[in-house]
Amino acid sequence: MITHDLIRRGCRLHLATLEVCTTGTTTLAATATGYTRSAGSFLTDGFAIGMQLTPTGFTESLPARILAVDALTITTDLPRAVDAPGGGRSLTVGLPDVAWENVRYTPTPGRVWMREEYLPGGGSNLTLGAFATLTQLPLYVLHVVCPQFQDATACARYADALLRHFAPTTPLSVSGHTVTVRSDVVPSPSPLQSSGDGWVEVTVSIPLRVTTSNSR
Amino acid sequence: MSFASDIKRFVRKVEQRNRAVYVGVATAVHGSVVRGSYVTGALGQPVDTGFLQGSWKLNIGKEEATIATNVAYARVIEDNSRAAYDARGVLPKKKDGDAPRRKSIKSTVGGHHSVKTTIAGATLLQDAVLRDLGQ
Repeated sequence: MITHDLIRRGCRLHLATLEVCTTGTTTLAATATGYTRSAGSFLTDGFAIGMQLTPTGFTESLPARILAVDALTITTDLPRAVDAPGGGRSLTVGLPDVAWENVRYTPTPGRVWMREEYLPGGGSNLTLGAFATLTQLPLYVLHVVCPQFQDATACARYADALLRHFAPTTPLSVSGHTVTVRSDVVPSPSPLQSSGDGWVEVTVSIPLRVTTSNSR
Repeated sequence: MSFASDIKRFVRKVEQRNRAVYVGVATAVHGSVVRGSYVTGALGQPVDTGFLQGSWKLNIGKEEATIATNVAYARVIEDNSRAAYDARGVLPKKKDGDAPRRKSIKSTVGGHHSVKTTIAGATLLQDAVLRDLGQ
């Protein structure tokens, strides 16, 4: 049978591997106020104000929010332990905090976060008989929420990353089900719109197709 | 009776059936967006005063049907962005000592995302209309 709980979990597992942007493994340094590099560009890599980055290979591994960014420098909201330039390091922006459906969540002012909704959608039998193949057309909806009156680049890049991550025909791993992102109706974002109380958001809708056998 | 008149009758019949399917699908899509549908899983529009629900107009043209509203907040209801902190949760306090604030839609019918759920289930609606018309 169609098990929506499993499908939602499959969506969440796939969402957890979201990568918005990264430096890749390279030579980076940490300063008291952020990070520097002598080659390459943080801008070209896709970093933007408001993103939550995770450092790897540094003394300090706690995530921090980007307050300012240019080609060679990132300024963060939290102080960093100073590290001289060294190889084998990376900065990555992945999944921000998520307000999971029906779980109380208090957003941190100034920080990008997401809100999740799962809509079961309609369904039908694909084949005949008692053990027919069933299909269901759920929607996984993710709201990318960003501070109002701030450069909206981060919001757009999180939304774009979701569209890449849930590209049409992407399979999701769900036990006993075949779940794919639909390609006849494709994932799409809403315009940037105010949600009040100092936040704006882009709503990304991801249409899914689920097939499974009727187990009765 | 002639072969030509038989063909004409057949063409008229096909045109009538096409029209019935076209009108049936347009009406079903409108119904799914406005009142919800078990076929698509859309919840329909929430109703407080009925202003938004009543604003969704179906216009069936010769070759194209449009379903539209001119209500400014329709998009906010569709995308559930009015309660961006979580409609079921509690908003953060503006200052210490404030009581928790909630933002939720008062309506006990309808919900959000009816347009996108209807689009996602459009093929199911088509199938349902064809079944209803015995085709």
